[in-house]
Amino acid sequence: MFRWGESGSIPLSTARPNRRSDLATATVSAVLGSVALLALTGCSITPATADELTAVGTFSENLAATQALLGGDWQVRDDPYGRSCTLPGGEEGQSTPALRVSAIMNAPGAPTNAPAAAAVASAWTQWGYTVSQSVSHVSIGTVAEVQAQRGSGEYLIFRASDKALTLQGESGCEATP
Amino acid sequence: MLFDVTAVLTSAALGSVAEAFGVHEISRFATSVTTQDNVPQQLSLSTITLASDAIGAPPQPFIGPEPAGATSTDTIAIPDGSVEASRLLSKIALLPADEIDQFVRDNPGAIAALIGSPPQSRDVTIWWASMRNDARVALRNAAPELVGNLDGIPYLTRDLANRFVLSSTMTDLESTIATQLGRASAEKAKLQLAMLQSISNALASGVHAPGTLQSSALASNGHGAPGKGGSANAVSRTLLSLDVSGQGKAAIVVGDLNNADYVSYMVPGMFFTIEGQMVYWTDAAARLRDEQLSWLALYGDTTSTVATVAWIGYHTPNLTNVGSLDNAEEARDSLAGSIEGLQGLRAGDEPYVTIIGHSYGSTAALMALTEYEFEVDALALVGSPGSAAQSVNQLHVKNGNVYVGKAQWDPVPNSAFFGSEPGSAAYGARGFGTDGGTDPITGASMLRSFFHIEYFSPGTESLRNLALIGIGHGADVTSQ
Repeated sequence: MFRWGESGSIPLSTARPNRRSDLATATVSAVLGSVALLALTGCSITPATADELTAVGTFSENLAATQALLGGDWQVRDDPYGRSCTLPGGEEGQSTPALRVSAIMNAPGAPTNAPAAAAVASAWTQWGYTVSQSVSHVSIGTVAEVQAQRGSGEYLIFRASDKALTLQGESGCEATP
Repeated sequence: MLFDVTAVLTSAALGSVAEAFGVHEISRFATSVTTQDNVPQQLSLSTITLASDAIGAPPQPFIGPEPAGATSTDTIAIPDGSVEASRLLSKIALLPADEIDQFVRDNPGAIAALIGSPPQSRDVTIWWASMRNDARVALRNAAPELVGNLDGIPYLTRDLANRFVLSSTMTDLESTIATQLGRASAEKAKLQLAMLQSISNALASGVHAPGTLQSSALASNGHGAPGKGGSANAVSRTLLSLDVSGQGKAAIVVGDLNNADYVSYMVPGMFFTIEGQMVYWTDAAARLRDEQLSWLALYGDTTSTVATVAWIGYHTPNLTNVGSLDNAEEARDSLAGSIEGLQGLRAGDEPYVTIIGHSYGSTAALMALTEYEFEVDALALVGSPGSAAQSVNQLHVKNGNVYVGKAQWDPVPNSAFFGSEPGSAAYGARGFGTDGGTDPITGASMLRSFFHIEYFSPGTESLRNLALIGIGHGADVTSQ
């Protein structure tokens, strides 16, 4: 059964860097920690190097950085249609949706989901998102989930089961060209 | 009853554009057809006349050529029954392609009646298959509003027809406004144009979406019709049905209804007008689809496909008529036709079909699943005021796959306003969670659904559960 409130084991930092240099530094730290964590758990996914993860900031950049953090092959299944939203001034705007999927080829029961979720939660927190975690217990096993929100409606959702990792969300509201 | 602020404000805003909403007039008329000795054969336009108030004829075979020996003048009544409508379709099928346009011009009432009281979708499918290709093209060009709305016709054909109607109607309205001939007609045109613009936006939004790689492939003429740079196949939105009159009606598919393994129909309730909510409802369908694809992958299935239908195929009620079932009856019939059409077109390869009924829309869905014979794989009810059906055993839903969600501060589900409370234990449906929770580590609130319209917000427990129900994993929904 699904139980909201169960969480990963990594204490999350509340630091929210404001400057890009701080962000990059924090990102590298988070990534190194994540790499160490993934190595310790024996997870077979291949995390990125720190150099690949310094370019964080926009929604699309953070999507790419998260994929790089986790490694593996990702299918881009983005809905090409923008979604309606309201800008702070009340004007109509659009957000950009994303859906990325990475199948996991590990043996059943490999401890990929919780460590992966913890790594993502740590990174997203460092990148300035407000993060929450939960765990689902469904028919195929455990699904770890991380949700993050930031700015004008931007959100990210990461999920990890023993069979796949998924990453989805929508950018913040932007003016329609 | 209590309603959330957004809904009430929306209603207030929409009140300014409320008007006498047009419904298809179902007139009574008849065709007189003279045939020669040997049938089937093509009919001459000169031999077909339509007259009002004719007496109905007894039921006849639905589809196909005239019975052998029909050598004299037949009078075919076309009142409001699908049998008679089918007979008219069969007559159209016998017309030469170059006479279809004239027939449509001469008999606008027949076309309106067919749309308002369509034949059964399985008859339409057979009829369409029986037509020559040049006749199909001729009919689509002459009566796109008919071809676009007949359940049983292939979806790509309907999409093209409906997009043409949308685009041409908007162009006409813009012309009316530009001429400034009559302030009243100009104002009326502006209101209708605004309604249609919402459909166009729902179809074309994202053409310029920032950051999407696919944007350049979705060039549009700005009215939702495919432009030179795109085609109906290139986009993942289908204009399944369209009524440009009055308050308007439309259904937009996100995904590929021809091939999807899982199809979820989303049926809204009160306050969901085309002008106000078509874009929102299409976005909600897109979010549900994303959620379903995500969960399918988590279950180890990265090949199955999903289509969701933002279905506003009826005149949704407002505060003045929400206590009546009239609109629900309209929705019941239209929804049944749409799903029967899908199951007919996909016979042998039927997708897993789920209806998600919200509020008054759930009542309409319950009525369709009680009063029609078609069966769906799952039913999810959110914010439901019930129906005459008193238990899941009375619903045509496979394996009793009926689920009920109720958000905090939503007073509707406990109202049993239309005769039953689907969330009650006696009803036999399974409740699912919508309330979220609190993360003990971060202290952050998990996203929960409040009030009457937040069941479809991204990241909510409600949307997660609706997604699972729609992909056949209802056993994994969270409990209330």
